[in-house]
Amino acid sequence: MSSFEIIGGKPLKGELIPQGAKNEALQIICAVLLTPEKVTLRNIPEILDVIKLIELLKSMGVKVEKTGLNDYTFQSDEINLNFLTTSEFKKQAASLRGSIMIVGPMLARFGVGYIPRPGGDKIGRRRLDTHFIGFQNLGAKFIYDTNESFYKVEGKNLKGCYMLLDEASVTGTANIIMAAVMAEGITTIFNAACEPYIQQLCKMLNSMGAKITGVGSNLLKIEGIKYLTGCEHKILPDMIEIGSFIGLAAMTGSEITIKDVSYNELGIIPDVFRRLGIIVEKRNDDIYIPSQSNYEIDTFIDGSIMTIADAPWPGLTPDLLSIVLVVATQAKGSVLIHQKMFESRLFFVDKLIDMGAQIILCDPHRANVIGLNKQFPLKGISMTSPDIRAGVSLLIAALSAQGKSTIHNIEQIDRGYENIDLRLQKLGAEIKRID
Amino acid sequence: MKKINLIIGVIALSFLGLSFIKKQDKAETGTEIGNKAPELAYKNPEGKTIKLSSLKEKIVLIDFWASWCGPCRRENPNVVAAYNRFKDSKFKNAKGFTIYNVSLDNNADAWRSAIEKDGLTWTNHVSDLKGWQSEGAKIYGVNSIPMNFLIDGNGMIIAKNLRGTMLTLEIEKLIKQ
Repeated sequence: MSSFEIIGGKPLKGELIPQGAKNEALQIICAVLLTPEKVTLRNIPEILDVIKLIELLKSMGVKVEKTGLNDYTFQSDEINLNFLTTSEFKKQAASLRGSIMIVGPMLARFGVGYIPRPGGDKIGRRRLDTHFIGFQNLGAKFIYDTNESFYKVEGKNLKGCYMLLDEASVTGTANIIMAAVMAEGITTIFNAACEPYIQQLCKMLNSMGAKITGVGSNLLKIEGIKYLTGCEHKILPDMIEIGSFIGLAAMTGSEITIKDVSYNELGIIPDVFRRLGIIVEKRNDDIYIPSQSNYEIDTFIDGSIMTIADAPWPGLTPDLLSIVLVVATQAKGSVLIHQKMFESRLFFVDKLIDMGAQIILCDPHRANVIGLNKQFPLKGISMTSPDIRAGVSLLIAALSAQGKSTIHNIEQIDRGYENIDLRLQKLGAEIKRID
Repeated sequence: MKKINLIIGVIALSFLGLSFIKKQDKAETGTEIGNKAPELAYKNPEGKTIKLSSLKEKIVLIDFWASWCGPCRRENPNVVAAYNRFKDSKFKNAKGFTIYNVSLDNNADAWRSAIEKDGLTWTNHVSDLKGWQSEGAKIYGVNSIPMNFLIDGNGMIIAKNLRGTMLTLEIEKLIKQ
C-alpha cells in the first residue's frame, strides 16, 4: 500500500488542467461495444478504474489502440462472447463497479449480458435494481445465479416501451439508454438522470446514428435503430476535480487558475463555493481563484444557518460534498452539511476532528461544521483514506495543515485523480509518494 | 358605428398580427429544435469570413465534421447527394438548400484536401483550425462528431442529427408542393 507524505501550510500558485471526467469515461467506453466500427475517444483520464475497464474490454476482444496522450480508438468487431462466462472475466469485472455498464450494450448488440456482482467504493449500499428492471421492461430475461453471484440477462428481440425509473440513477439510466438504442420501436424513460455525463453519452450515441431526444431533461425518448456507426468523441473535463481544485485553492489561500473547465456544464458547483464566501471568477472558459486570507459563509436570507445538501443533477453532486465540508472547516461561520444520497460518506470527519476541525457529526447523513476562520490551522496527522472523495478531502486538509501529514491507502485517491501528486508539485506543494 | 367597429377590428387584428411577429422574433437562441440557431462566423480556406446568417432564406445544414473523422467522411456521400438533389429546390419558406460546414480540423492542408477529395463543392466551409477547441463546436455544444443541425429560411432549427437517408427524407418534407 502506498502513502502520501505532505508538508502543509504553504500557499500554492499556478495553473491546473482538469482531467477528463471519470464518470463520463466509464459510460462512453462501454458504448463502443454497440458498433463494429472504429470509435475514437479523446481526453480519457488514465486512472485505475478507467484503465481496468479498458483492460476488460481488451479481454473481451475489443481492439484498443492508444493514439495520443489521452486518446484511444476502439473497435468491437470481434467480440469473444465465450469469455463472458470464464472465471477470468468474473475476476476482472468484479473488481470494478463501472463494469455493470457493459451489460446494456452487450444486450443491445448480442442479446446477452453477464456481470458478477460489481465492486467499488464502500459508500453505502448501491442497488442495481434500476438497471435490471429497465432491461426487463425492454423484454429481457433476468437470471441470477446465487451460487456464482452472477447476474445474467438475455433477450434477442428487445422492444421499446415506456418506463418510469424508481430512482434517477446515473449508471442505471446510461445502461438502459444503451440497451434501448437498438430496441424495436420507441423507448421513453421518465425520471431519467440528466447530468452532463448522461447528456454526453446521448450526444455520442446520436453521433453514432442513434435517435435520442429530450437530452438534458429527465424525459428521454429513444427511437430504436438497427445499426450504429463509429464516431469521434471528446470527454468533458471532470467537474469533481474542478470543484476539488476550487476547494484546494480556498483552503490553502492559493491563487490558482483552472483551465478549460467547460463552465456552462458545471451547473450549480461554482455557486456552492461562492456561498462559502470563496471568490470564483469566470475568465473565458477558465476559473480563477485569487489568494484569499479568509472567506465567510453566507447565511440564508432570514439569517438562519446555511445548509448545503446534495441532490440529483441539477442539484449539487454528492461527490463534492466532502470537499465542501473540508473547505468549511476553515471558513468564517457555520454550515450544516446534509448528505442525503449516501449514508456512510461522512465518517471521515473523525480524521478532520483529529486535525483540529470543529465538527459535530449529527448522524450518518449530517455534519455541522463550525468554521475556524483560519485563526487556528489544522495540524498534520497520520490517517487512512476510506474512499475516493474523502481521500481527496483529506489531501486538501493535509495541504492546508501545519506540519507533516501522512495519508495511507492512497490507491483510493489514484482511482479518481490522475497523477495528483505530480500536478500539485508543479504548484509548489510538498507532497511525496512513498511506496 | 359600423365604421368604428371596423376600425377597432382592424386595430385588434393588427395587434394579433404584431404579437405573432413578436413571437417569431422572441424565439430563444439555442441548439434545441425550435430554437433560433446561434450565429457562427469563421474563415473559409481562403481566409474570408463567412457568416451563417449570410445564408438566410435558404434551408441550411450546419454540419460539424473534420478531415480526420472517419465516420464523418463516410457520411459525406449522403450530404453530397442531398446537396445535388435539393440545391435549387423551392421550399415552403426558403429558396434552395446549402450546407455550412464547420470543420474541427487543426491542419488547413488536410482540411482543404478532404473538401476536394469528398467533392464538397459548395463554398461555405469554415474552421478556426482549433481542432476540438473549436469555438463553433463549443457554441453548439458539440462534443461528438459527426453532428448536424438543419435550419429553415428563418434560421430556426428544425431537425438535428440527420444521418444517412434521414437527411433527404427530412428535407423532402419541406419542399413546396
